[in-house]
Order: sequence, then C-alpha cells, then structure tokens
Amino acid sequence: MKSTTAETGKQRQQDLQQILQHGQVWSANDCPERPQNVLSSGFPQLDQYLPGNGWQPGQVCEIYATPGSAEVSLVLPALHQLSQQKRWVLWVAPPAIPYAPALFQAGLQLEHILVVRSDDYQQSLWCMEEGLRSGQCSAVLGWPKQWHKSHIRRLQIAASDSRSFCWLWPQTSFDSSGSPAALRLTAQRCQQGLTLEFLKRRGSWPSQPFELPLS
Amino acid sequence: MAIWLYLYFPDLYLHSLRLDPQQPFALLESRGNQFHVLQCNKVAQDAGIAPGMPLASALCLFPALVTQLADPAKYRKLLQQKALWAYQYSAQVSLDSPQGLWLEAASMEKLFGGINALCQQIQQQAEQQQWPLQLAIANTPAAARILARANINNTDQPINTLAENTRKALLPLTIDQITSEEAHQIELQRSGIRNYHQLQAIPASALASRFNPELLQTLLQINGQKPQPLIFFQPPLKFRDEALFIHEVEHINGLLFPLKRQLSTLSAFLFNRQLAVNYLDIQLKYRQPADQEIEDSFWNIRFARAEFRHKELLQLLRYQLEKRTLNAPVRELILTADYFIEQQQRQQDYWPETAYNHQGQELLNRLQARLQPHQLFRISSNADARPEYAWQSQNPVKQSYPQNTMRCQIIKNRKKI
Repeated sequence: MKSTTAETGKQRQQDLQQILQHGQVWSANDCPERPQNVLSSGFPQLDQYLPGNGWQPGQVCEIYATPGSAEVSLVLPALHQLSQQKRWVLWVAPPAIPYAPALFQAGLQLEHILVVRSDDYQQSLWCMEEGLRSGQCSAVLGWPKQWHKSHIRRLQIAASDSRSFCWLWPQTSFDSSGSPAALRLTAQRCQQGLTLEFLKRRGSWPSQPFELPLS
Repeated sequence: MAIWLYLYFPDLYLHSLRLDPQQPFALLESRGNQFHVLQCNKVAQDAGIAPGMPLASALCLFPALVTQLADPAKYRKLLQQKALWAYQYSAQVSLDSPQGLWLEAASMEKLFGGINALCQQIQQQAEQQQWPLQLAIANTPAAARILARANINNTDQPINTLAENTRKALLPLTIDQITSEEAHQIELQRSGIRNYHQLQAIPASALASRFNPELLQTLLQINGQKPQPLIFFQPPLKFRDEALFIHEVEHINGLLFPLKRQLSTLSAFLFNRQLAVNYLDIQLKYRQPADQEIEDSFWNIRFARAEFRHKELLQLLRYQLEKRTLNAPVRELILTADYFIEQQQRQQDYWPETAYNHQGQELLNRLQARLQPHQLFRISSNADARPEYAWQSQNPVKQSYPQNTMRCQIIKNRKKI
C-alpha cells in the first residue's frame, strides 16, 4: 500500500515538472521582486491599474482597439518622456501616417521618431525585433497585421533582453488562448475618453472595465 | 646600408583561384595554335604533368584534369593586389612582373623591431592567408630576387654581415638561377661557366669584352656596383577585389563565402588608411549561354552610416543580398569601393551623447539595408495651419554620398568600357 502512494507521488512530481518545463503555467517564483525603472503612464488612474504603478521596461503590451479610437493617446505621455532620450522611437507599420503636429504638441522630440512603412507582416515583424534587439530604441510601437503566439514570444524576449518598451496594436481580433505578452488590454472609445479593460496583467489579475478620461 | 626584401609568390595565378587541393588542375596558355600547361597544382604534378607540357599530353596522363585558360591581364592585377597588401610593411614597394615584389626594408627596421621580425610577420601573414611565399633579403635588389627565386631563405641571418652573407649564398647558384634570360644562359654555358662562383672569378674588364653588355650590367647590379632603377608602386585609393569561381555559384548564399574574405581584406584596407565606406559596388559576371547574352549585374549597396568593421559590413551585405536574385550562375564576383570618407574619431564614444548617436546609426543602417528607401522615414512638423502641409516626411539619413545622377553617370561610363 505504501509503495503505491510513493509511486503516485513520484508520478505527480513528474507531471508537475513536465508542466513547468513546457511553460504552461506561470510560476510566482519567476516574478521579479520589484519592478525597476517604471515609467508613469501620465494618467494617475491608469497607473493604479498597471502592476508596478506604471509601464515597465522589457514588457510587451498588446492593446486591442478599433483604429482611430485615440488608442495611441494612451501612450503619448510615456512617449513624451522616452523621446527625450537620444534613442529612436520606432513606429513599425502604423495604419496611418503619424501626424507630426499632434505629436509635437504632446511634447515628443520628432527627430527621434523613425517610421517604417510596410505591408508585409514578416518584414514588419523583423523590424520590430531588430529594433528591440539593437538596444538603440527607447520604444518600439507596432501594428502587426497578424498575431502568432510564437512571434509575440520572440518580441517579448527581445524586449526583456534590451529592457525597451514595446506597445503593439494587433490588427486582428483578440485571441483568448493566451499570449506571452506581459500586458493585454482592450480600449474602446467612450464619452469621456477610453474604456479600458485589462485581460492580462503580469503579476496581477485581469481587471474590470474602467473609464479613463483623456484630457 | 640598403636592405632589400624580395617576396616571390610561386604560381601566384594558380593559388589565387582558391581551388580544391584534391582536384587536379592546370592553367593553360596558348602558344601559336596549341595550348600548353603554364602552372599546375600538386595533384596534377604527382600525376606527371609539368609546366610547359602540351595540353594533349597532359590530358593523356590525367583525363580528369580540370583546365582553365590564363588571362594575361590578370597577372598584373593579382600582383597589384599583393603589392597593396605588402604596402603595409614598406612605403617603397616595386612590382616585378609576373610574380615578385621588392620591398625596401632598411627604413622599416626600427618600426618593426628589426628586419628579422619584419620578415617573420610577413611570413606569418602569408601563411594565414595560405599563400605560398618565398622571401629573401640582400643588399641589392637583384641579389634578393635571385635568392628568393632559388628559395634560399636568409631572413633569420644577422643584418650586419648581410653583404658578405649574400655573396656567399650566391656562389653555389647555377647560371639558370642567376639569370632568367635564355640568351645569357646559353652564352655562358657555351663558355663552360656553370655557376656564379666561376662567373665571379672573371674580372669585369674581361666580362665586358667577352660577353653581352646586358649580362655585365646584370652582374654589376647583383654586386651593387651599378644601381638598379626601380619604379615604386603607388597604391591607388580604390579598392577592388575579384573572386573567380571554378564552380559557378547558383545561389545567392554561395556569394557570402567569397564576400566574407573580400570584406576582411576591405576592412584591413580601410583600417590602414583610417577610412570608411558608405557604399560598395558589386559586379557579377554570369555564365554566358551560347544563344543569348546576359548582362553583368551592378549592385550598388549603400549604408546609412560609413562603416569599416568587417562583421558589420558582412551583416549589412547579408540583408541587402536577401532582397536580390541572380540572373544566371555567377562566374566572377568583383567588389569595388571608390568613394571613401574619414573614419570618425573613436574618442568621441566617451561622450555618451555621441555614443548614442553613433549606435542609433547602426540600427538605421540595418533597417535601410533591408527596406526600400520609401519605407523608412522621419517626420517633422511645419508651421502651417493646413493639416496636409503641417507635416513632412524626411530622409532618415543626411546625404553624404554623391547624388543619384552622378552615380548613374559613373555606371553608364563603366558599361561602355
């Protein structure tokens, strides 16, 4: 009788090891103790919802929004701070040309903005990854036309290696099967500003929808 | 005291082809309407093939022999490539066609910590590049040439007794080693003179009356009693490296191997002159089928920032080549660079601001290599109330290379040639 319990215990241990090795579950041990160099989003309300009270470097953030719903405004205050650095802010395959006067008004240094126009998904993916890996970009903004888990994983690894900021606006519908990105949220236009809902937050639970006024 | 170093590259043409050492190979030259073996590799020599043999006999000995016709115009180019390399060791390099170089070494003694150290360095470099090289030093250019061709390596001997050593080393040499002129050899043989020792014993006045005045001049030049006029090589400020393929390259990745070697030469060329390039030209010569003519490809490869490092150049070229296709199997690859700019001072990197700038250019370089020009831009805002005029797209890089029109002109001219 004793031997069977030992065997099942062993079996369970093996199963657990297997699951951990495949990376199917997130283990609380992997969580970095304290997020460093957190960048305030510029919206106090949003900061409260973000783990670590702000955007964290080395994390990919997926934002699902209908195009033209002021979805870039969400990161403009952060970009304002980042563009002061003498590094590139790389915009890969934006669906429209970034409007220079608006960015200038938001306080961005336009000479550090580099735009890549590309219709090819593979090419834009390459640009994003190259930008992240080079360590010469303070932030990479991407509008990928397709969404593949393995590709997001590559970007996430590249971002965490170089500790750069990365925001993606996937031009696809939300895939609920999980993503390697650290943050996933949806944004919808509302009367006051945007209604946001965190679907994934690394180090926390998904949130309820909340309104973020854009002033 | 003058010290001359002679570098002799045996079978230079043959070794420049970078053959498979297992494959029997012979270079041919045409004499009249017949082909003769000019140079052949070790495998072919083991099969009994020797230089000077008619092609028909060579093929009888070894039917699997691979042959190629030598191009006389290549000789000088190959030697110039070697002179370019040797120029890093001495400011006075003189070409001795077809396969030798003179280097004036006395003035380089202090720089390299002695002539012997200099010779060692040259030998090591040649070994690394797998060039067979015979070298010798002497107090006169002519003597150095004879010793190097006879493969008498005296570079480890003391310099202060160089004149005496040279004389001693020359004594046992035979007449055909002393002079390569066939007429002189026959003339001396008829008089029963077989080696330099016997020739030395004859007084100059007797030599002058008995033999051709040219022969006397050669002998006096060996002794150093008469100066030997040499024309010194001036390195052109242009980089050109050619790779000939025995097996034609059919896939673009196959070009990366020769390019890697060519870029390392280019990188050394740039480093020696403290220069950098921001564009390269690649010319591809294709196999010509009988029924049609395929034009050579001219690829201009531009970089956002001038570059001189070997690894970075290779990486950039790799991105560029991914976009391109070959029209036909490639026979020859020519890499040229003829527009150079000064390397930026490395010290600037200590200031963090410029260091960032410098790094940012690297990413720009890579993106530019992969993307089309219209795909990459920067934006700037204008003081204009109309939205469509309020912004402007800008080239990410400041133009530091000649304008498009000028480049096109150069290429057109080249095609005419």
